[in-house]
Amino acid sequence: MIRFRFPFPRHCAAVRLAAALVLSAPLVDALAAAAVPGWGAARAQTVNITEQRSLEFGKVATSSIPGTVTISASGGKSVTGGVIDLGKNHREAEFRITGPRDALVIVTLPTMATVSGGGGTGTLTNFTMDRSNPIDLGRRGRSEISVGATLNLGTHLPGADYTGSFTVYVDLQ
Amino acid sequence: MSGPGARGFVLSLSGMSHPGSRPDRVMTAGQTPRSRSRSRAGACVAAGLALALGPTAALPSAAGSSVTTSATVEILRPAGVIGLQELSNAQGFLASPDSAAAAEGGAPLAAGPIAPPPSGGALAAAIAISGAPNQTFSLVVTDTLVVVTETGELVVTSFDHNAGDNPTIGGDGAARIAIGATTQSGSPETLQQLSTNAGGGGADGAAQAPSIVAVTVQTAEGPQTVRIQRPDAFGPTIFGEKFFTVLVSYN
Repeated sequence: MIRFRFPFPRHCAAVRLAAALVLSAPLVDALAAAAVPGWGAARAQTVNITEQRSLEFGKVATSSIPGTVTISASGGKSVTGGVIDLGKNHREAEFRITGPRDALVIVTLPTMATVSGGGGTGTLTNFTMDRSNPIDLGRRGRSEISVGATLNLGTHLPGADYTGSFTVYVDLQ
Repeated sequence: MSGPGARGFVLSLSGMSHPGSRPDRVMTAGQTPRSRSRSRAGACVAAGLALALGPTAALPSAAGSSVTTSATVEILRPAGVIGLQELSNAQGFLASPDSAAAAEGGAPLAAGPIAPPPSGGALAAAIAISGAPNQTFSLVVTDTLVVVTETGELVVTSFDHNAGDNPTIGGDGAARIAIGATTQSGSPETLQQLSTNAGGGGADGAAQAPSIVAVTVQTAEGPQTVRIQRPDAFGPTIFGEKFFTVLVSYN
């Protein structure tokens, strides 16, 4: 009769306990999730940001004087200098942030970006958003933010559709 | 880390990694076989706990996210104005009172090349406006132009254009506008009457003063000083000048 002999008889109890702990990991997790508030959130420490709509400055014309066109975080449009506002469908950018419930997140806006078209360029600066860091995702684990910026334009820019891109970052606090 | 626990953990791992082989570490002073056993047992439990709780109780990963979006703007070509043809009554610019309304009588120009001034005939001025296709714009022409002729006669010219109330740049990004003029003239005796008519704006003489300029005119009776309305609000006076201004701006 072959008798199984544990290779470490003196450590048998300890090894068995360790093995039991390994095998019971899901159970431990479930028990902890039920007993410790925020245990599940601590496990899912990921946050995501998606675009709801892009930033649009509408229609403007330039002149012999440089100027700016600004879209505020609330969607208002204003021009300075020699830029002429011609209206047409301007809007602020909007993003949705999702993550753990009651999590606090930090949104980082760019400091500068560029739009170009038709051989001309413009510079995006002074990005703003309608919320202040940190942003509380609340019980639903979700929040929306609106972002505006200032577009700096030179003189006599050629007529064209100018496009550019910018990146918004979000991180857990 | 310091203390017996830490020391035992290292020794037990070393021993278990090569079961049955010669120990590659010698027992240090103060260690006994029983303590080694306890150390190995503790190590096993610790390893088990680490494996069990590792995926669960790991430090928050703080996985951030980012999104790249677009920014767009439609920039229209700036409006430009080019003079194509001067206003002419074919007898010298506004030289003769007899030429009243002659330029206005010149047919406004249609699209196409500008015809050379016909000999002896009046011709409207022409300007070309370039800009965004189908864009509406505002056109402002100097209201009046005052010229004193060599004989001391005052000629007041009123300008008009054929762009209509809602001028629009064509689909090709260009528009051509004709500008005509109507002249009125008078002898020195009528100058005061003209200045009175041009004063405008209410009965308060003081309020009108900035728009009134004094002009000395040589007449047959000698120099006379008359008052007339400042013909152009953009400068001190364009008295005697033979230019008019066209302002174009997008709506």
